[in-house]
Amino acid sequence: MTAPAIVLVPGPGGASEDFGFLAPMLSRHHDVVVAELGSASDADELLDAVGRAVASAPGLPAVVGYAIGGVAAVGYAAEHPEDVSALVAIASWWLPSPKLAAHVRLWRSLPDREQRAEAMRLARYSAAGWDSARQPSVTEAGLRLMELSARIGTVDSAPRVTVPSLVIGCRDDELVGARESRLLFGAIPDARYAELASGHAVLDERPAEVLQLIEAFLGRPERHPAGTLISAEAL
Amino acid sequence: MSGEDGQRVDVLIVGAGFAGLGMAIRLRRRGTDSFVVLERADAVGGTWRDNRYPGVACDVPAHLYSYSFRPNPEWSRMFAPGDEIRRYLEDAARDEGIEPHLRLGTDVLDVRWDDTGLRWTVTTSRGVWSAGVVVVACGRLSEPRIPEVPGLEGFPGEMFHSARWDDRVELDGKRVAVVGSGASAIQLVPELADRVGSLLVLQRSAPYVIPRSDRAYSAVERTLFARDPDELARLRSRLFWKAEEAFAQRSGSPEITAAARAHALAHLARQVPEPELRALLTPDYEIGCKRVLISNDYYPALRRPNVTLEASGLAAIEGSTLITRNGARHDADVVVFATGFHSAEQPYAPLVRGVGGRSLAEHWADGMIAYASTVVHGFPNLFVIDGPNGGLGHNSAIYMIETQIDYILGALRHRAAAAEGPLQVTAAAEAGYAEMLARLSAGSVWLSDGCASWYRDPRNGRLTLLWPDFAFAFRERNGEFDPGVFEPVAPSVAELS
Ligand SMILES: Cc1cc2nc3c(=O)[nH]c(=O)nc-3n(C[C@H](O)[C@H](O)[C@H](O)COP(=O)(O)OP(=O)(O)OC[C@H]3O[C@@H](n4cnc5c(N)ncnc54)[C@H](O)[C@@H]3O)c2cc1C
Repeated sequence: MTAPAIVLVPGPGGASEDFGFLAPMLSRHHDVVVAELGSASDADELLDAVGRAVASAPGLPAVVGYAIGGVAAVGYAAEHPEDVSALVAIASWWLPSPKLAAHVRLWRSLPDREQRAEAMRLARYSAAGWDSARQPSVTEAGLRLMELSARIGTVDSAPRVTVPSLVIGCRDDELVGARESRLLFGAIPDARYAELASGHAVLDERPAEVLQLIEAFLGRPERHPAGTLISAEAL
Repeated sequence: MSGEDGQRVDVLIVGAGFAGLGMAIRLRRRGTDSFVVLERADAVGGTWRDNRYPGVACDVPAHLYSYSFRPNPEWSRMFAPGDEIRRYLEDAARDEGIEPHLRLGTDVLDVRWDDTGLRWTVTTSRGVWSAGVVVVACGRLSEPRIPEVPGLEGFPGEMFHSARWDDRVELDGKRVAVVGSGASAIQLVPELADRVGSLLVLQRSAPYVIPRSDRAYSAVERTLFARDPDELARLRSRLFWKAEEAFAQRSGSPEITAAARAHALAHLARQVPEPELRALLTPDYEIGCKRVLISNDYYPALRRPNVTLEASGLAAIEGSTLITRNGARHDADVVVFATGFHSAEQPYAPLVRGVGGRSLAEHWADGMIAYASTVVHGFPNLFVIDGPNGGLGHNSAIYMIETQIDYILGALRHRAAAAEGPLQVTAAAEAGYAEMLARLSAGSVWLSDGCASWYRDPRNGRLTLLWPDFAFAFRERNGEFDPGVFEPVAPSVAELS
């Protein structure tokens, strides 16, 4: 295969929740390895998890991360520019927004599993994308990753990323805030940016559009020069 | 022959359906005037002019199944009725100034490359044209297919194809047989069930059916669409990307395929409690192999006391008795063939003769193929829309057609700028495209065991009608004309053959 291998780095929901569509569809044209964040409790452990997946991927993989997985991917690409060929950060951020921290505190405080899942669902999906809303499964490890999310960002790492990068933001992202995704775009030197009409749960609301953006970017990263705001396809 | 004999035109378009009209509108909007659209019927609309059976409607949402460059805030329903789509196309032809370019009642009989003049000579039922460029937009599903069974000619009652609906035939209270259980039958059967005396449905192979989320658009919504075009664009974008997700059911993900299958079988289980009928309606092949159909009233119609489902094809007709392959005999007053179209071998293929007099049918003896699904080696300055590997099972045909129109406009711009002589795609590029298609379709449901469908050419088993990937991937690969794979038409080629 001439197309690069891909390392997918999931968010707190884990690979089965986040990559049910992307992983098999990207596998049609790429070798795909999925990173396991497990119970990473700080930024270093996140980078180690990405590193293990990168090591098992053939060649120089592109790293594609969602939410905190994207933050980890940015961090890894900054530390190991020689090990990756490209970076995609989906619904990730420069600084964690105060609202993200508030949501995570609320989720932690809710004693009942079902209430907690429902509160997350409400936060993750946009009003327009509500018909694709699924009840998230909430594990303790996932909740800890969410708490970690509210503490870490890409302020130090993003400016040091040298590989071609694609930042995907979500217009109606109540958790991350589209502005924080745009700041991440502003911080990575060789970045282009696309914003989708979606809430944070873009991999459920708009999975095929995300796939199209990734395939187009990896097929020819230089198609959009650094700094480009990629406008939505005319359909 | 009319007075148009020997007329010259730059671009000649054959067919006035979505594809031919779309091409014409885009040319007209560029300010081009040297083009004609030849259409054998007496009206525009193609598919939507021909298919007037009760219940006919699109099964891709109308806001998606329409031109991107002519959004229509007025669609009455999610899945617009056929006559609304036909009117949309008629309005488009009129409002966009296409009528002066239209030649209705003009059957194209012969399209021939002139090896010395380096132009196309197009012979029609109403005169001969000379054209620099020919766009074949004859459709893929325009030639009704009626099965050849013994005794057909002797049937004493009325008989017609669903795409040639005969309004004069009285159906109320009659014994009516519908042959077929595909996309047309499923729309037709619920409409007929409560009108006719008895209804027989002959099903060769059970379709997968999923719920149909149809609804009317309210006056308020339509006003909003008219007032805020962005609202309409957002809806179209949502519909497109939702539809794209369904490609994953066809290729690459057993989990997603299994979920889709379960969704369809649950619909069947909910709607058909009787185990015997449910067994007959359970498909014996993987979902996605054939078009997945949408209906909420097909299964209920089959449960009516006056409706009989025979899970067998038509074998013969004796007088007014239909005999199925499994030996059942049913008398009928009227037979409706909802049996689809000639698609693997396109009716226009023998009419088109390229370099050295070789016909498209000869070139395609092993199955249709066109580079970028649009251009064919040996057929310079000729473009086929909605032809080989241009169809989709999961998304709107119009997106594909518009991609091809963009490609053709790119070619025409290049031709105007470069003045190199006719554009012919190389044989190597065409072969490379065929290999790419084979790679893409490997592992897809269409080539899986037990999948026989009209998407595949029966002569070689190749997937020749369908684009075996996401619709966006079609545009990515084929949306832009690439002069690098074209070569001059060598005069020696003509002499050799
Ligand atoms: C009942 C039905 C429902 C469908 N619903 C959908 C849907 O919901 N979504 C979807 O994506 N697709 C649907 N399709 C597929 C549909 O065919 C295409 O979407 C689209 O309409 C094709 O447009 P076209 O212009 O390529 O071909 P057509 O509409 O078939 O037009 C071809 C035209 O060429 C003319 N022609 C052919 N040969 C000659 C000749 N030799 N000389 C002169 N004129 C000629 C024909 O008379 C015809 O007018 C449906 C098809 C059918 C039959």
